[in-house]
Amino acid sequence: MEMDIWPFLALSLGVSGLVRLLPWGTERQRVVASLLVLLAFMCWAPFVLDNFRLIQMTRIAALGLALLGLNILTGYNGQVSLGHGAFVLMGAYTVAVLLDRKEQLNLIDASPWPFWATIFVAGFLAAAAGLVIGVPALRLSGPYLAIATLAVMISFPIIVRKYGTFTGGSQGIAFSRPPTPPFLEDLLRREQWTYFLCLLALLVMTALAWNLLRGQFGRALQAVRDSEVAAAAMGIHVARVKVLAFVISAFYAGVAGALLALMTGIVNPETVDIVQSINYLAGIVIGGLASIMGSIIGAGAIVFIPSDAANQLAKLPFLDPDMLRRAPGAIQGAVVILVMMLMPYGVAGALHRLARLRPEQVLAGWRQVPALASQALGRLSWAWDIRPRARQGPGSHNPKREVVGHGDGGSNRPTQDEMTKGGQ
Amino acid sequence: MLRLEGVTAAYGPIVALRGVSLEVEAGSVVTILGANGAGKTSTLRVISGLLRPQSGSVEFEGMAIDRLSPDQIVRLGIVQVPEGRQLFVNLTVRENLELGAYLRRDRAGIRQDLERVFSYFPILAERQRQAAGSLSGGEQQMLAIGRGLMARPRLLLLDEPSLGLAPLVTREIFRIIRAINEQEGITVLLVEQNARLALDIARKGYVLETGRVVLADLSENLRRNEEVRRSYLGY
Amino acid sequence: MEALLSGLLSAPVFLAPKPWEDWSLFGEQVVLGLLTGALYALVALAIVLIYRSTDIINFAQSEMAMFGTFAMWSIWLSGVAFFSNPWVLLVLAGLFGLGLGAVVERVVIRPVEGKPVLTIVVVTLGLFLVLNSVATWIWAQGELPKSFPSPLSVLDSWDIGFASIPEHRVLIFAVGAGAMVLLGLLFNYTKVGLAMRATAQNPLAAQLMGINVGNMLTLGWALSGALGGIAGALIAPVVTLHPAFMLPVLLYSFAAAVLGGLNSVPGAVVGGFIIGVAENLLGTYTPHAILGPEMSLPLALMLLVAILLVRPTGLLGERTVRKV
Repeated sequence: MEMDIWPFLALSLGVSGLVRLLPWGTERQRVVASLLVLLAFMCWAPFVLDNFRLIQMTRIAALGLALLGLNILTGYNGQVSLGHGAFVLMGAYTVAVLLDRKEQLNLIDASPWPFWATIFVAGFLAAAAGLVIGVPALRLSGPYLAIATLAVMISFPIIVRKYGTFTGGSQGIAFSRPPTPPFLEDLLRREQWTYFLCLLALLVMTALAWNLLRGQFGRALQAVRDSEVAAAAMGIHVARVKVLAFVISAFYAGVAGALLALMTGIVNPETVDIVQSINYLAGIVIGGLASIMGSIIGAGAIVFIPSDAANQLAKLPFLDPDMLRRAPGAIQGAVVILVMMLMPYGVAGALHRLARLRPEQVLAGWRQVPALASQALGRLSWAWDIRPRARQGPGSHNPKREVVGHGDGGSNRPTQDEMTKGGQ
Repeated sequence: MLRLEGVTAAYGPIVALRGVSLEVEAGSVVTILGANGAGKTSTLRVISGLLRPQSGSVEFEGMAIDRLSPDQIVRLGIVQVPEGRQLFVNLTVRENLELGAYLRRDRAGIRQDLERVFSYFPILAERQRQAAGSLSGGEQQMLAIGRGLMARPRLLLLDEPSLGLAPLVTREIFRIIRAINEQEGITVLLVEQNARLALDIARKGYVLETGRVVLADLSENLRRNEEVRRSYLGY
Repeated sequence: MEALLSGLLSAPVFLAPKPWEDWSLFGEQVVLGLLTGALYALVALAIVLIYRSTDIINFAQSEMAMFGTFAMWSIWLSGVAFFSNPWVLLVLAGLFGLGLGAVVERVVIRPVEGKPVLTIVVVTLGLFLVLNSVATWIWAQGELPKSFPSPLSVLDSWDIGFASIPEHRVLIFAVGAGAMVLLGLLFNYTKVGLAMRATAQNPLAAQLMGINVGNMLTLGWALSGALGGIAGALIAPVVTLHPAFMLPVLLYSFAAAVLGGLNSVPGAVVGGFIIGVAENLLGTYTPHAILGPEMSLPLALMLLVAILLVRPTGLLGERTVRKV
């Protein structure tokens, strides 16, 4: 049997969501059960999806790791990086060099590395790079750090091109992808095998991250994000926490890069470009900052918005399919802008709020729909309302925004503070 | 002149004002007393249009002002000197004062008022070209009040002018507030934690607790009130 | 030791021109760098204008400028005699940018105002995609490359003794400098300029002064759009006109803005010139075999990072004072 991705995702998310929301057992049991159901669906995925969609799902698993890493750094710790693509690229090159260029590197002997070992090497090398960048990053904050990391990302591919002895220059390195292990050969095609590999990596590393973030270290990360001075006053070693965040985050990115390389079997400077790297940040903001689930949702957004936004919208009767075909980016951009307008704290933030609603609140909310709609219209009126400088009747006023930051809920979200100049 | 009627207001889920009513007569000094979080600053924010009331009305000289934007309210002559002074710290003293007169177009009048502010606060004249952030706390408060005066207000809202100032400086500031009221005829609504000084210059006072007016009376009665003495005057 | 060093430096890999061997070449590179730097300064200024009042880095800056330039190109092609004058086009580009900036602020940015900064930054990324894609759709379907008119010849040069300076670069410098001077006058000698500075510094207090903060933000975006638009029309004649032509300028300008300090207007100008000169000198005086022109961008960026490490908020940026 074969299914398209959207019914499949709707089915799997719907069923697991139902398990989560239906009234049975304890809260904890419901969460665990719904996650298990979701996992079962994800294990079923490679047998019902076509190859294109399967590769997309594999990409989401790999990118999910990169975004999770970035979210640990940016979402939990408040250090904004636009350069995580560099760590991902580094992980990818590590795998490629180890699997193909080992002889040129003159490493001990020429027998091929097992592919799984290269994943770890990629992770640890990226982590080392994270240390090298994380220490000077202590001096920078907010947009200055963001641009400095972007500078690293811009430079990295150019350097790779220029010094092509090990890296293959612009051509990159093609290597043979690891085949399905013998005992699974009858069961899985290579794409399916790669998918399970990535899924396994995602599972293990997500569990690790979850364990790490819910404990003392997670609290330290967030305390440093919210106020370094207060965190230091509580006895947290601020510098150590920030550097560690960089190292861990780079480790995740390196592993993600390794998986991406193993997926495609070719690595070149374009494997991760500047736009991709910036997209990682967009991904975690869309998915939800300081949220594990948000990181994976963000990876889904990065993969699916370019491939599907235009096509799906072309089915709507009132949109011109010709324009959609010729300007797909316009639709992608519009989707991104709309998501941010409707869910400023990301999809995970919105879901989180939804999950906390009780039935009676849902009912009350439903009754408010007309009022909210008119409010939304009023909000839009800002666009054409150019207020005259004097003598405006009290009746024609529009809701004036507040300038000082009494955040409307969700004020625990990070980086707002991180990127604002302190003090008035 | 100013009348609040059953004003409620909230920051998101946090309710700040639960039905505040008060009245300020033209030409008088009225004070609002209360502990931290009682809703004093929120009341001023509602009057200035920075916080929109959920219900109740705010009237200025018979006109409803609770739907106006902050700049429209300043235009009516209601000027706030906010808590913590909120100066433009990187701009010069002179520029801060000029911004006070932002909505005015009468150049001659502005120049006159500048002289008047300098006569109240001679130190500001000396420091004209200095960045506002480099002034001492007392000088900054003087600048904040001077900046408010530059708008030629009819109602001046003062939010904790004594905050963080030495007692001597505080007394000087209050002397000037009284002078402003008596000589210029500017109505003053004064929010203060220093109840003794506030009741000295105010004709009447309101006591706020957790967003409600719990006492409203003439100053001399308040000063004699047992509750007020214990809670706010400390004897 | 010295012998070793000089031996090493004369090794073929490290061969590079040295400034003291030809001072006129050095002078020429510096002048050319300054002229290009004006362009970076202009765009850096546009970035700073938005950043200092809202803490937002506008990634769509380059695409707004690109969009305006293509629009001017269409107007130029329309054949109306008045619009065939490149000077008119340059002014129009500024006006178009002014309008586009204002519209973007009202329609796209205002609905997310007050939301986390990163959310708004991502909105500008979305805007980048939209403008880029729509421009491709409208203008870049057919034949490329396209050329854009310049008020001065793009081929002729002026000889100033030690160097020969392309006329068009002088134009970039003159117009860029003119725009910056006008902006400086606006900020320092007008009431609106004072109000904009006040709003950037303390929006709450600005509101209490009766300043309409929303209008000031719109004005900031509009001015930023105008600067970008002028920059686009200035560089367009010497590059191939395609939907990504402003992106490299944007990257250099980010570097310039950060170098000068993101909240400092003079910093943006200084940063722009430094980046322009550094780009040229690094391309000329580094050993070509191991570094060379294609490495000038990474080198310039590494220089930027190095400077940031010494001065974390840029050369002229205000130190951020955090209230606890």
